[in-house]
Amino acid sequence: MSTAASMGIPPTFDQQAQLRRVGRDGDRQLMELNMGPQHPSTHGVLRLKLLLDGEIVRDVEPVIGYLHRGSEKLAEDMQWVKFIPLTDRMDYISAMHNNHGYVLAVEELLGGADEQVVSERAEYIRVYALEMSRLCNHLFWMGTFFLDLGAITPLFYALREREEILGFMEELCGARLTFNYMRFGGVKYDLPQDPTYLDRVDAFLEAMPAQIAKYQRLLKKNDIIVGRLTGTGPLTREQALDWGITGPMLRATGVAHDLRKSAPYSVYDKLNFDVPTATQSDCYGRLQLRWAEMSESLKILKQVTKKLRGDLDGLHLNPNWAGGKVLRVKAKGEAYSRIEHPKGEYGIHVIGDGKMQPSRVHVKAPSFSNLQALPVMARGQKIADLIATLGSIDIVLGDVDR
Amino acid sequence: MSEEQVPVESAALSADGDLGDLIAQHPDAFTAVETTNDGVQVATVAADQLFTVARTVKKMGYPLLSLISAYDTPKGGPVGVLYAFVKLAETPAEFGELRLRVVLPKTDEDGNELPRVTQSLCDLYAAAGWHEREMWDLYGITFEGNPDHRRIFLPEGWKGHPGLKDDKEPEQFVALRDGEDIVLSTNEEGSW
Repeated sequence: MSTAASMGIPPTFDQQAQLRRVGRDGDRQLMELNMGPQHPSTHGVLRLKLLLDGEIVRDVEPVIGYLHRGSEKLAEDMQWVKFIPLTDRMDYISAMHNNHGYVLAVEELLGGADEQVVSERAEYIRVYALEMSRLCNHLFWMGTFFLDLGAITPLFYALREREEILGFMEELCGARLTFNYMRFGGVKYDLPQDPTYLDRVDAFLEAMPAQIAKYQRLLKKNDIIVGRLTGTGPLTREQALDWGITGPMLRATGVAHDLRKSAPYSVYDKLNFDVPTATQSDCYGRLQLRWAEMSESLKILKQVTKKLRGDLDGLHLNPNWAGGKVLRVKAKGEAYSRIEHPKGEYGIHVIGDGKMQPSRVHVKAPSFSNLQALPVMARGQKIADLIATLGSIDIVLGDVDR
Repeated sequence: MSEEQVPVESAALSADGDLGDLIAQHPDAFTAVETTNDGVQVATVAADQLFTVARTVKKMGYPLLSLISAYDTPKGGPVGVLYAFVKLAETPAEFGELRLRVVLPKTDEDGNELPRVTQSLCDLYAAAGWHEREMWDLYGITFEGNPDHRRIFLPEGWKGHPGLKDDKEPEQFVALRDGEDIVLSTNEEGSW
């Protein structure tokens, strides 16, 4: 038998003492409730330890790690390029962004030598794939969010449009969820040969605003939705910054912080779009904000497809990248790159020690950072509102646990 | 360190922008400045000065803690922790990023094992909590002052810190039940 002390775990936190708080508080009977790890509304294997006073949440502690696969450690045994498919499996709802974050970090690690250049065409294809992925993420979020609230219909609307996007992605890279599409120096495949591909994409982009308007007609002024979401899961600007929250959750507090604008990567500095913010930082505000972000993505996509029809320089993949020996590429040094993932700031920290394998890959996952603040939003709220609050964060447990 | 040596020390460690200001404000705290491959300067800060330096960083207008990432170096080299702080920005001109590094050697010159201890930033940035727990879990780095210093991914009672380069395959069976001493059997031979 080993004790915590014999293993060198510092005795700074007594979990048992925390649990023993359960009992009476004045004349209130408190109750501990475990939600998950197999609860349908936790989007995977997340366990929430709740301390309840009637149906009021006094405290909540997220317990994670059920989906920890040690991807970062696995990276240390494989060539640089072979880690790309593993990033797909972290946040499988927007795998394209994970691909891009990693590829960007390694491109920065190897420096900007001439042979390392990513062509303009490749960059526009990347942005096309990324923004489609963002649309996909927000659609899926909307569907599952309302499913959590007990409304089944919005899921079918959301999945119908998402299905079209997945069809376009499948034509593009042969996969629907785990894309494995980005490569160092470009993307794996050029746009499909089918001459009608961009026409069909454009038709979809034309039709999409009407669909968003339809969701809004159904949900925006619906009394049940408004009553259920307004004031649920509040978060102030100061709390959001303190807890390191990024992405739509931060922008819902009124901070127009978007890395596509403030630290532009790829060709985002050549594209015209706005950074929407919400006027109220609760579940309702986050819903409105994500709708607005979908409209902005459509705006970007229209500019990108127009560009892709024109004459863009270069190939979709730089064949001379790292001397054409992608599998044998050796990297030395350190780099950290961050992108605006649909869920927040997604960062990859890579260290190479001159070998063909990375020495360290660390993924700063937005779901992980954002989930941490769940107790701040949920304390004092009803247990049913906790479900809505958790849904509004937009987490994927594969991203939390990695 | 005598008074005369300080300007020499800080002159040797120069950096641009906010990092330069930070070094000027804490001339004794830094031991090195280098530029990473992505062109950002990283200052190495002494582990016992980290909290003081980070407090200045926060005052300088970096409200977001973006990254805490520990790493190990092969062949018994030191363990490091990289911190990144970000400014809120709507345009590239306003954007700012500041990176600090803490280096924790595993052994002293005589080969004695050193404790890998640094300071927690939880009192400044609540966001540090889970990131520090992750780095304790995987790299065995103790963050003094973290109010909830437990493992986060692996079960309580796991032996070893699998992020480390010299971490062996676990010779243990750990039940997924928390709060108790849950290492049911450990066999030094490695067969169970």
